[in-house]
Amino acid sequence: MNTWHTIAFLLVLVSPGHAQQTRAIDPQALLEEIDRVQRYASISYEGTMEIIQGNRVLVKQFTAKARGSGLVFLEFTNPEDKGVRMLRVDQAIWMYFPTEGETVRIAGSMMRQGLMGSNLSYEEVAEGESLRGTYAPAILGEDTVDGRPCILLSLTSTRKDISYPTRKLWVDVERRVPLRIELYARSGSLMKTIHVRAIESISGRLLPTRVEIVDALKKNSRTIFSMRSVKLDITLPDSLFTMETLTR
Amino acid sequence: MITFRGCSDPFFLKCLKATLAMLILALGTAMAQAQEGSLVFGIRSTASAGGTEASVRGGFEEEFSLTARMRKGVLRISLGAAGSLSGWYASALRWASYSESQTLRWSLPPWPPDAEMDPAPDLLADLEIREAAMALALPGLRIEGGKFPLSWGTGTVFRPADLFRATNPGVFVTEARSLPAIRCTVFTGAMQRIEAAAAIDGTGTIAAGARMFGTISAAGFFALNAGWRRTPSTSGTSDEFSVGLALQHEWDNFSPTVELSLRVRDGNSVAFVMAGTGLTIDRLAFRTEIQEKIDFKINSLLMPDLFLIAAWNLSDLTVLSFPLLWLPSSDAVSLGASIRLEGILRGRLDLSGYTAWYTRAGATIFRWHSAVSWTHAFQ
Repeated sequence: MNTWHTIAFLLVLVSPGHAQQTRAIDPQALLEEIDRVQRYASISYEGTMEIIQGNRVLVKQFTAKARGSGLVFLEFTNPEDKGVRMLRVDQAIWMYFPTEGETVRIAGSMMRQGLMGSNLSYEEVAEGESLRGTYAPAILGEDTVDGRPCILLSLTSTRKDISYPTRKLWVDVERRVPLRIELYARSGSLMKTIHVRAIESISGRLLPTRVEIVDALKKNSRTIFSMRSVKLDITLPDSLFTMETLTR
Repeated sequence: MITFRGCSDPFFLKCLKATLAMLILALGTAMAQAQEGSLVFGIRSTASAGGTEASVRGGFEEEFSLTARMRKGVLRISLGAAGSLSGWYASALRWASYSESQTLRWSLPPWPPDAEMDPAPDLLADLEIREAAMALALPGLRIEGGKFPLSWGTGTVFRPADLFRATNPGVFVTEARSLPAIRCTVFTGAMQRIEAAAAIDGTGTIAAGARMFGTISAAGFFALNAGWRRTPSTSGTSDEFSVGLALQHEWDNFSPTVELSLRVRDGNSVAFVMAGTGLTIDRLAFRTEIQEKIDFKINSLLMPDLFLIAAWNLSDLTVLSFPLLWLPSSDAVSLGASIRLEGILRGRLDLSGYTAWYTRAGATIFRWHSAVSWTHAFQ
């Protein structure tokens, strides 16, 4: 799933369950539960990114469609980027710029740069594997976020091909949705923090529709990502995720 | 690895402010003494109906700009307006678009009649059709006709495999030219296509060719092309035949691009080879390209042309970049600096300057240019 997609997936509420004591929760089972619920077949939405640095704001608008774990299609609709499209097929990201009339493959050397200036890197957009297959979970304890009791879940991975070998999730005990996520580098340094600002019930799921991404390495820098007109498990044809559609 | 983990400390902020101050000071100085300086204010808005899901949709976009340019003591003011219309119908007619720009310009005082540069008139009303095209599409097939951007190749500056772009443009970033053209594209797979295109440009050059574009597993792509180009010459016309290859491959974060073009004109064979690669270290991004011309008749290698750009992402909304272009074959070198600040007064502020040295008629000429622009977009 792409990061915007992943953000949604990371924060999707698992099936509402009974409140449980932290010590009674099997972290692997919790992660599997999160992963299972995150694996909806497809999604479409209209998105907005507000890239904020101090009192400066840059707004990007787009429509997004994604299917499975490797297919994402975005089309930007704000005036400055109107017609710019992005296609992700597995780990490859292609961009189309209407002023050039040509497709550009995002090179590996650019993968750590921010997508359209945001706090989301191309590399993060290209990640799509499940948490369960990538991380080993452990429960660190209990905490509160915005006054709500949470389970603090730690995810660690020894793999070298992922952006963040360690993640911490604050999972709402009652609603079972992550309210806060911290992403760490291999050195142990905090890289980014994701805060959930709004949650909506969509197709029977609680979906975070507004999140704030704070880059720990950039002073006064954050990106607010919002989704609207969200549709889940819709039919998205193969032809959508092709060069033909990218260059149409 | 360079990192700015200490970006929150006062030292970094001081360095940043000092850097920006120096840049602005340099640009300001340049503005005061430059042969050419410009100040651009732009406003842009769009309106559309139908949304991206609709089978019928259309849009209107307009752009206004006011440019003040000082050159050799003459102030030249230009008013520009551009508009575009687009339509899309999810049937046989897939899209049609039209855009034009209108420029009105006058000079205060009038441009000196004996000036060696800028032959443009003091009063100018210029209409340019940027794009006027339509496309017909069937599943796996698209036919486009009209005037539209046409570009092949992978390089930022050097694109020897681009049949429709001039070689060695001598500027830092080249945009695809919008040309009167026809293009037929057959999509042979999800990420593969074969296209044939023909175009004519404003100089009377006619070019036609075909290209096969495909992926190399998930690690890169290639584009193989063959073409013909007829250019006007003093003796009539000159025909050139060419084959080209563009290639990009990924090895972790190393992703080199290579372009090769072999051209035959009047019995003489010439090859152009471009190699480029990028590198990102934390917030620093580098891109370099070199291009070599191989003349089989002379059978000697010259110093290759070089393009290098270093971009420093000071923040998500601020990018400082330094491009360098060295063209030994043309005895020209250009060095620039630019900073882009997004989100300034809800718009984008660009400050840029470059210097160029080149040789013309045996004399070395020095030229510098600076520009400030602010753009705001409405929707």
